[in-house]
Parts: sequence; structure tokens; C-alpha cells
Amino acid sequence: MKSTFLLLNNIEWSLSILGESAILLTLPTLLPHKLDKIHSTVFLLERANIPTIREVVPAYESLAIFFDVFQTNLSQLLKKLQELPPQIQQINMNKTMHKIPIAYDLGLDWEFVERATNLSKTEIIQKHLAPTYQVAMMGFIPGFVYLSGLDSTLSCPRKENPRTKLPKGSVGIGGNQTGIYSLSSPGGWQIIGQTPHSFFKENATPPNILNVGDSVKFYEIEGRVTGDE
Amino acid sequence: MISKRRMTLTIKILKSGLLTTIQDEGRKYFRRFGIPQSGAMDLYSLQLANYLVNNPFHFPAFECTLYGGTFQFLNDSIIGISGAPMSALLNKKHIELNQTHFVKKNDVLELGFASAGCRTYLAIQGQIHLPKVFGSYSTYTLANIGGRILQKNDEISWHNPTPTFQKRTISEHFLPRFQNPTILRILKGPEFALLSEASQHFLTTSTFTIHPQSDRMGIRLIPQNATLSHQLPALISSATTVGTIQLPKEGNPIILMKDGQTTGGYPRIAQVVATDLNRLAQIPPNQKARFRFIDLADALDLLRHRQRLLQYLLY
Repeated sequence: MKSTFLLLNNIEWSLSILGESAILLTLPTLLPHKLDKIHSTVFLLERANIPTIREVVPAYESLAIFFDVFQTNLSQLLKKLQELPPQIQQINMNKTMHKIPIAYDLGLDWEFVERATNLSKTEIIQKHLAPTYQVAMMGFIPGFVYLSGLDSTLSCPRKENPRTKLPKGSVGIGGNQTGIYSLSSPGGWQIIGQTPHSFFKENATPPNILNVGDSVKFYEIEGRVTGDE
Repeated sequence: MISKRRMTLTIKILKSGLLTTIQDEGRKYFRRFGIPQSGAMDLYSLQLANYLVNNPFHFPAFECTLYGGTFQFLNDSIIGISGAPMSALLNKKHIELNQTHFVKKNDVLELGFASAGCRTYLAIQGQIHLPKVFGSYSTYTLANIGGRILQKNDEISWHNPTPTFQKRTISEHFLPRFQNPTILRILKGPEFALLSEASQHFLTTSTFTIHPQSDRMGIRLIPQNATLSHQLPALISSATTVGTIQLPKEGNPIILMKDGQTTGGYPRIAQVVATDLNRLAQIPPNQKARFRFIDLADALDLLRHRQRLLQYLLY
């Protein structure tokens, strides 16, 4: 796809298509505060409430806009987007602070994480408990929560061969992020603990207890959590 | 023919198929929560099955994979079967696919192995008696959304207050053809330009084999006589969609399907056009596929043509 740009929310996004009914907007490489820009643009789009837009899927440095291909076309949609006034003042997204229990003794990859970070388990726990994380995005499966704000010394690579089944509530590190698997699922992150909380509600709308932009702080609990393994 | 008091029809699984689930056109508004679209892998065949029983095109039906299993109708029902040609025996007698059938209380339908393709849809006239989850009846097994893989003795009910039997037949012209290799039309993906020129070339000159470990989440491809090896940087997670062709490091592409993950970190090299997802869903394991680029305008024409075709069926 040749590089095309779209001006939205005072940002020059690079634009590509994701099939017939979605576009992908990616932030300029060197832009600071990427997550805030993504979240404020999502907020702007939600408020604009364009009927032909089905939904907006935010990620760390990009967002995808899914639209109804039978109700609009690409040029109409792009025109609408360009006409949107930018989000000027600081947005108030009703960010909620969530305190989440974690049992570090139920981590599965301590040996690897200790070696990769060159830190002791106690140090890793301290550094993992310290920050207030931000819910960056949700995906790849229901109830998975991507948190940004990991202490950079805890960064470690994903598993070369992902596990085929992780216990639900697994908390892991993948690259520079930490995240929570609400469902028992395959996964490639290094697991350092488990939480008894689930962030996916099958019968609720919205289905997730955490929202993009929310804050998260972990607190340590002892012993074994219940959950299927 | 059907007593008005008996508005509920129940279908019982006597023998489970290889992978039988309830699917409709899927979920449209929940990808940002990590909830995939789900729905019929071959949406067009689902639509044809619904046409046979005079249901709206998007209604849920049984999606049977490779081998259908045995169903018993506990009440008189109006049914239609479309999609991959599975042998269909009603009370041990052969019946035709792509035709409306009236089945009587306690009749038994056996759906055998698909002789071509791999997904067959069994539609029942009426409204399914199940709760919608996130706006759809589709089953997504990973999160136990919308039920489970159907097992022996499972019963599913439909509501049909006004049964109307009208014999419908789908003419050849409307039916999908099952070919090997299957040609899939594609659009360039966001990371296509990052591929080496050789790999860009291989994408449309190589033949790909469908890996047997393909499923509703993703169809895995093995390139023949070529490698799509690449030095693309690991990407930070970003949105995907149904039909996205991801290229993991080892060079075997994965096409995300109806239950596929909503975000991912592999390069999105291309995108199968929406219309061709139907035939992609019908390629049996170990058969072949080839890719051909088209442009967005042509992809949209295909999509509109398919919509018109469905409308044309009704006249």
C-alpha cells in the first residue's frame, strides 16, 4: 500500500486499508505520548458517533476503524473523518482505578524471568508491584488486558513456543508490557503470577470490567487461587 | 401440516459430527474487547441454506465440519442443507442438498463425510430458541460464548409459529464450485511493502497447502517450493480482521478466520477479499490454494455482486 495520510485529531496518521471494511491509522513514528493520542482519538470518534462506523479498535500505536461497507465508501468515510474537529481540551474519560490481587507464587516462568532480567524474584515482585499501570488495549482474545507502564528492567522476550493452555488469571510479561489472561487460553508471555479476578463477563455489555485508559495497581496475595488449570 | 399448538421444534443429536456448532452471520461490534466476529465460516452457504427454508439470510444454522453426524427431528420441521456436499440420508434414504425438505416427527437425518469442500449448513425454518450473546447466536468455543461443540444427546429448539412449506431449489448457477487449487483474491496488507521483493513475488506465484491444523481461528498455509522468509521487525500489537494474512517468522502464513484473534503482532502482508472467505472456508486439509491480487474497487464489486445474487434468489 502506498503511503497515504489522513489528518484527524491534529495528527497526521498514515493510512492503510485492512480489507474492504476497515482502515488502519498508524501514528507517526516519533510522536511522543502515543497511547494518550490513541485514546483521545478513540474518544473523539466515539463522541462523533458516525453511524456508518461499526467500531474503533485501539492498539498501542494504531487504531482500526471498522465500517459498514454497504452504507458508506472509503472516500465518504475519510471525508467525514477529516471534517471532525480535533479533541482540544484534556479528555475526561472517567478513568477508573482498579486494585488487582496477584499471587506471585503461582508464576510458571520464574526461572526464565530471573535469568532474563538478571534480578531476583523478590526484586522482580517489588518492581512489578510499584507502578500504576494503564490499560493500553484489549485483544487478542476476550478478557486479555494489555497494561503499559512496566518497569523497563523487567522487560523480557516472549516464549519461543507459546503454551497451548494457560490457567485463567495468568499474569505475564511480554516484551515491555505486562498483561492478564482472563480466560484459559494459549499464550506466549512469561507467567509470573495469577489473579483470582476475571475481567471478562460473558453476559455483560460492555463485556470487560476494565476499560481502555483505566489505571491498574497490583497487590500481592498469598497462596493458591482457585481457577481451572 | 404442523399443529399450531406445536410451535417449538426440537432437534436432537444422535451422533455427533466432527465439529458441529451453531453459527449465524456473527458479531459486529465487539472486536475492541477482544471478541472475534465468529459466525459461519462460509457465510454464503449459510445464506443459501436459510433461503431454502425461507428464513432471513442471517439466521443461525448448524455448521457441520467434514463429517456431519446424525440428527433426529423430535417434531415436524422444514429443513434445508447447503454447502459442502455431504451424503444426506433421511431415514436411510438419499435426499438432495440445496432443496427444501419437509421432515416428520422422529425422522433421522444422517450427514456423512464431505466429498468436496468441508463445511455444510443445516438450516431449520423458524427462530432458534437460544439466548443471543453479544448480538449473535454464534458459538465461540474458546470463551464458551454461545454454546459449545454439539455432542451426542444435545437438543436445540426452534420456534416456528407459522410453518410454511415451499419447495425451493438452488440452481447450479448459484452454487459454489469446489476446485483444487482454489484461487483466492487478495488485497495488499499494511505490511506488504516490508516484504522482500522475492517474497512479494512468491506470494502470487507459489502454491500453498492447507495445513491439517487449520481451524475456525486460522487457516495455516505451507508454501510449496518457496519460502516467504522475512526480516520484518517484530511489530507492536495492532488490529487484525477476518481474512488477514499474517506472516510469522518461520514463513508459513496464517489466514485469520471467523474465530481469529482481534489483534496481533505478526506482519499483515495481505488480506483475502471478503467474498473469497467463503471458498477459503471450504478448502479441505492438504488441498491447495493460490493467491491473486485485485484492487479494492474490484473487491467491492465482488461484494456487491454477491449481495445482488442473494436478492435475485428471492425473485
